[in-house]
Amino acid sequence: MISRKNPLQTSRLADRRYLYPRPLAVIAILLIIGGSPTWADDDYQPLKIPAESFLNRVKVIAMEPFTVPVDVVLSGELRIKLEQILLEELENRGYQVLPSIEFDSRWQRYSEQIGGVYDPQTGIRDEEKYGIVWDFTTRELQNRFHAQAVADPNIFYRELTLYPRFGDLVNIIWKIAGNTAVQWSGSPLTERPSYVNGAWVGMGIYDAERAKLYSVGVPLGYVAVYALRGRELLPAERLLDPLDHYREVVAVVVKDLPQHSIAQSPQ
Amino acid sequence: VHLTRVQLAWLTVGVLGLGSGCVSTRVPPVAGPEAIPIDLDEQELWEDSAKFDEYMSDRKYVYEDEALQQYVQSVAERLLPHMGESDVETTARILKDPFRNAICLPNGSVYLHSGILASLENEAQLATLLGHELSHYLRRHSLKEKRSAENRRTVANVFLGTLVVIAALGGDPAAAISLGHDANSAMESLLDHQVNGYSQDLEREADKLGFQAMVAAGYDPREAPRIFRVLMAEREAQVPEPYYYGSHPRVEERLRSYEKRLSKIKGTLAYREPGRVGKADYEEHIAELLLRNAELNLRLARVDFAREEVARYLEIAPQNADGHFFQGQVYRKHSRSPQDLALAVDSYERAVALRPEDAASRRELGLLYRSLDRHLEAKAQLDAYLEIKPEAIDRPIIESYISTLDLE
Repeated sequence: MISRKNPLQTSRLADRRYLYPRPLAVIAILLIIGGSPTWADDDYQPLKIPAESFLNRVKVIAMEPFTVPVDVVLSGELRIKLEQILLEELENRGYQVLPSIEFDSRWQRYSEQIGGVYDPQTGIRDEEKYGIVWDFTTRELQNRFHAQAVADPNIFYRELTLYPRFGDLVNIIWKIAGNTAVQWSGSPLTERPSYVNGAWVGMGIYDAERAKLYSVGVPLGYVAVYALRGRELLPAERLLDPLDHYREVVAVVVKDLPQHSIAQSPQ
Repeated sequence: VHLTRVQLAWLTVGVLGLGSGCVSTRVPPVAGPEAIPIDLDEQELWEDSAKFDEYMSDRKYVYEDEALQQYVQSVAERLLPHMGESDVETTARILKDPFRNAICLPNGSVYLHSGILASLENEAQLATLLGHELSHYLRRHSLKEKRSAENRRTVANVFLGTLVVIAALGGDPAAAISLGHDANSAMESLLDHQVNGYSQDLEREADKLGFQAMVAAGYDPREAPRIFRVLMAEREAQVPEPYYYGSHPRVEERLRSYEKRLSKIKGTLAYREPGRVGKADYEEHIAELLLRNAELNLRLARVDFAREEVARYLEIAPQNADGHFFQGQVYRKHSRSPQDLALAVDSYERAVALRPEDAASRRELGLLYRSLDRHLEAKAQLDAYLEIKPEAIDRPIIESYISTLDLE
């Protein structure tokens, strides 16, 4: 039935490959599988649905407890302050925000009732149990407070390596360092670092289906620098003391959230 | 402009380079004896296409529904005899992707997103879409676009390269650097063209050939422009989509093009006595896909799309418990008003009535009754849930709920 011979059987591409660019497969695969733009992309859109839809759907946000990397030691007091700053910024944009205790107390209760979400031996999360606890928790928050979405504020690390290179690394590192040169023992580092560990303040906002409505990560600073001469590790806590810089970063975290014209009470 | 001999020599080299570096974009259609010798550049396109096919099937992106796949394939095969020779092969596949798009690879593999199938209304519209996409394949548009890009690249390289040399020889290194930068920008924009689809001329050619084929195959020509009106219908406050058929301006271009083609055949027999629309057949085949696509849309927070799809599913299959259950889920989880919750209750109740042994429907209905303070009804449904599914992981939570219900 086929009127053409299969070109693959007679291909001598290996000999001529260098003559032609071969972007099709890569481009097509990228087009098909999509994939969200990275945080380094100029076109990065934190808001995943149109602003009007977001405003129609989300007025009350329940906050999850602030999560931080395992090596960051946060006192209870500092954790509350971090959350409070974010909560105020969200309220300034017209949202009603439930402090994390509302989410966390329910989450803990339901989790205990079904024997825990994580395997005590392996630490691996049981996805079915996780889904059940999420379902009961968000259902309760919706019933009781009309919360339509959940925010998960966090501080996370991201390693910026030269290989494989992505984006404008030098520019990114510059931004992470607060628009200044990366420091080494108190002086500007003159050589290009091999990689830098950055700390970001992140926040995702999810609906009851766990679909992402908003997602953002904003550089807070760097916590490790690796260069030819060695490495320099810096405690992440230094980035939170004083909290002024954190406060500025949080303002950027929420800046793409649509603003409710008038702060409205939940229905 | 006064050129030195050296500059003139470079310019001559450049002009000669233009002639020798370009390849012909006038290629014969796939069907026909001229198509047999395939050039290396087209072989590369085929090889990339085969890799793409493999990639998609390996990663389970393909929506598995044998009957639907065969149905789409049969519509494609019905069109092919009217697009050239009938001995050309194509394979139609469906991808699990709620964004609306369709592509045809240079090797004849057609990929339709579940999102676009969920948007179409009937078989005639499907034939329009397939006709358009198959035209890209049969007229070797990928090869033409590739060669055209190559040629433009060659022109840009030689032209700018020559000017760079002239500028450098003329003692203006800054101008040479600037021209070199422009040459790089030209490369980037050429690649950008490849990403964003075919040129307008090729799209119009695909409109023409695809339209002729669907009319010749006996479909109602009036459905051809309708597909683009359907795609342009505003939902979710103009959700931006990443692909061609989700792009408002480009879909609008296609709409105008097909309306023009339709107006040209007014008065003909094909217009006066319109042929097959195939609404019932189409809906029968895509019913299940509507639900699966609604699930995908919910994962992307596209609630309005999901609502429309489940509503359409229930129009097609009003006695299906899955459809009512899913509708309940959409309205319960994304309720925007008390009416939404009432609709969720109604949907769950219908699901339970249609399939009383379904634990999930009982659970959802019971939990919803509880939240609405309808405690007696809640207890009945939650008891039934635990009876149907005694091993339920959430049993302790449900039991604690039942124990606190006010049954007075």
